[in-house]
Amino acid sequence: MAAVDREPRSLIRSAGRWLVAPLLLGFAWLAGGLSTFTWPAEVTTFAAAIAVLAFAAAHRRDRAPVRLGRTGFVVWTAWLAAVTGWELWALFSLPRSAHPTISSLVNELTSSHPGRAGAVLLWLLAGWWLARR
Amino acid sequence: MTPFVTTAGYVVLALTALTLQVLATRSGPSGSRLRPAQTYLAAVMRGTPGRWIVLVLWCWVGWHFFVR
Repeated sequence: MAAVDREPRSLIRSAGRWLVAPLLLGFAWLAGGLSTFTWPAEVTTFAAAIAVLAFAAAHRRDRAPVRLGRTGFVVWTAWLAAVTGWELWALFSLPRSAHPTISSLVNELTSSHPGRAGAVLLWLLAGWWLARR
Repeated sequence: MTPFVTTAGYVVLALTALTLQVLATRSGPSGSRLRPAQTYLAAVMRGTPGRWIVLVLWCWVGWHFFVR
């Protein structure tokens, strides 16, 4: 009986995925065409953020304890410190043109509509991935 | 100092992360002492405060690149 009940659920789930994919792509393309410092950009970004946060609030999963290896913890922490240090060094160095930050590099990549739409899509997928954790 | 040197630094850091991630994934979860980055993220997000801090950071990334 349980197996029979599961079938329609999985059908709905897979149909939902097929509907979500074009919606995500369409939203990313729309949002990618908007300029910064405009209210449409604010509205679309905040709407997406609220949707993901609501999903995260509704889909809290209990997680088993995660065992962290000491070596790995030290290595990844050192890497994160190096990235932060390099970014801060670039941020506070002059002249600005000779020291690009991550933001300025990403801004160059997202200066075109397709590039910006791709960045929005990546941001949305990252949010969805994080919200399911 | 040129923009090339600064950018090269970011590329080196990105390649380092990629190498670490590949090494951690290829060695397997039980055999390697180095775990993939998502394991550390999972540890941070296991508790409710950590989970919401990461999600707020994600929101900030969106605001920083697409709104401001």
